[in-house]
Amino acid sequence: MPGLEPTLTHYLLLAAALLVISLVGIIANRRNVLVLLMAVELVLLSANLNFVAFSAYYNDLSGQVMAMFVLATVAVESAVGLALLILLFRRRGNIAIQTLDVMKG
Amino acid sequence: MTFSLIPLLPELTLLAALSLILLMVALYPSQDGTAAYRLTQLALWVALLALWLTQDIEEPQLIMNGMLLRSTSTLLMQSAALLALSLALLYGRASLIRQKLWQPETFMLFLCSTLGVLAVIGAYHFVPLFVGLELMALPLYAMVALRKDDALSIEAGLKYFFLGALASGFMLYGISLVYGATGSLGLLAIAHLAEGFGSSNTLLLLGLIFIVAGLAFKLSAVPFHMWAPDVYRGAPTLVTLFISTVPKLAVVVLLLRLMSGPLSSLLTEWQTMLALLAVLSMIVGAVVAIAQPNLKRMLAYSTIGHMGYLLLGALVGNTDGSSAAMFYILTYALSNLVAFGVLLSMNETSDGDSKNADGKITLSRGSDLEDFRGLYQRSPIRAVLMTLAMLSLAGVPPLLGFYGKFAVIAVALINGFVWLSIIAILTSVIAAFYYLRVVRLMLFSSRSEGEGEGEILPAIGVIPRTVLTLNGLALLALGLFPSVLLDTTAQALAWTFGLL
Repeated sequence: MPGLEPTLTHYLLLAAALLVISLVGIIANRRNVLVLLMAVELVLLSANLNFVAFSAYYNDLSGQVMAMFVLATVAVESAVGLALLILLFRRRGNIAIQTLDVMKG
Repeated sequence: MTFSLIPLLPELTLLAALSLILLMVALYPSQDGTAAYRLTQLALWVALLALWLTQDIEEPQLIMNGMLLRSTSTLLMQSAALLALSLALLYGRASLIRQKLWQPETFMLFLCSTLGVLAVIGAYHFVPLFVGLELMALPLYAMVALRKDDALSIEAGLKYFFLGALASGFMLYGISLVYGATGSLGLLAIAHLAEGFGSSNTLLLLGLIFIVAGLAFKLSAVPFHMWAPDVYRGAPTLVTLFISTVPKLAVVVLLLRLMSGPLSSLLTEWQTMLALLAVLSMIVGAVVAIAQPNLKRMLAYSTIGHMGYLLLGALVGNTDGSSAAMFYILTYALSNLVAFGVLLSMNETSDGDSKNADGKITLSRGSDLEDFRGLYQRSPIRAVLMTLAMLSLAGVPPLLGFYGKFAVIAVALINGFVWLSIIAILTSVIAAFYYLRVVRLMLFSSRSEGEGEGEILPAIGVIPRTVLTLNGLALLALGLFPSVLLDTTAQALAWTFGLL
């Protein structure tokens, strides 16, 4: 159907919406560290959507190559984050954000 | 198309050492860190040698299909990064053993992060740039939480991880917008494509804002500095030294490179944002540090302040400003190595997780300012070296740190940033107060009767002591003859012809 196909603007708006959602998730979330982890990963993924959208728009492959590299780093990043969460759980017995206040920064 | 792997020898050396340590751990799981430590030091020096041998000094060149840049400035900064890690490991060796971190994995993480630093300093394309940044940052999160049984260390690691990952996300989002504005990921191509763009290009401008936010976080510039004091305090001291020195070298190069090349069409916007960051950093770094009872936290605010001065040089936006900023980060790194070298030789009890009767977690001691009271009577050499480091960080002539501050303030004044220069001078006077307070505590006050009796400071080995002393004397010697380092930096930049 002409006129209803998604254009570049739609993809960019979706990516921006994902960015806003993850920022809200980081700021409003006061309880669970796991949710924080998901929100942080979502920031990277929203940027990834941008890369793919621009890549299709310019008919240029380098954006998609970048997206693959980003996916790999996102995976590594969540591995590191989960490892830290396990350490925290072993030490404290819970993963609530409130326990992260021994040092008041 | 042919390309040779010879120019990549420094990076490949580190990668080989990294893989070898992994293999050693897999084959002999129960070994301690001695072999890994020696291998790391060897790899660092071989990489340094390879860096100097494989470099065609005069001409900057793009290698690997334009992915990486080799020039005099990358040579200088990469050498500085390798040398700084080598010195840091030498100073921190005994401290690692005391804190039971003498494992091969520790050195693997250091090597991995340094590999990322080399990649960022060399990167001339957004793919190696972003991958290098992550390679640099991800091991840092693990390194901060290295003391697995210490609650402070884990807390610092998590805070650093979340804020760091968010900053990487911002950076990447900015890169994606720049890609959207220009349609290319290579910095050289972007520089050509974005030449005519002004601030009217919304995508490019938004991209710039996100990228600056990411960079400011990595530099711990105010208002993106919240992580620094906690991470500095909670991390093992050697890791604090590493974080405050080596990755900063890479981020400074990255900042100057993006500013002078691909995004130079937005110079006014760069200057506005960097000026804001610089002023806030200088003020917060100077004022809040006064209230810190712990030396590591104080040094965190000191770093924040120093990043303010560095940004003051960087925001000028010409070759003189860039070379002043680069000179500044080198003087800062050299002074910081001495300060942390002394700190690493002190007793640090790792009782951050010992709970009191009421279940409250107490903070560990050993890096509090009180621990330095009357240090001169107990260990003159530590006190003298620490004094040199503090005076250099404060910017007292004739030490090296003075010329760093002098260079950035002079270049800012010449280029018409009068108000910023006045603020810089005022804040450096305020900052001198808390550096000199440490000196007064060490040299001119003594502990009250009976306090700390029976406490024995750990002995420093002959080699670390000699090198640390030389490092401290270098602050004085380079301060008396500042032109040596100043000319090297200026020349390194002059030879790169805009290809920073």
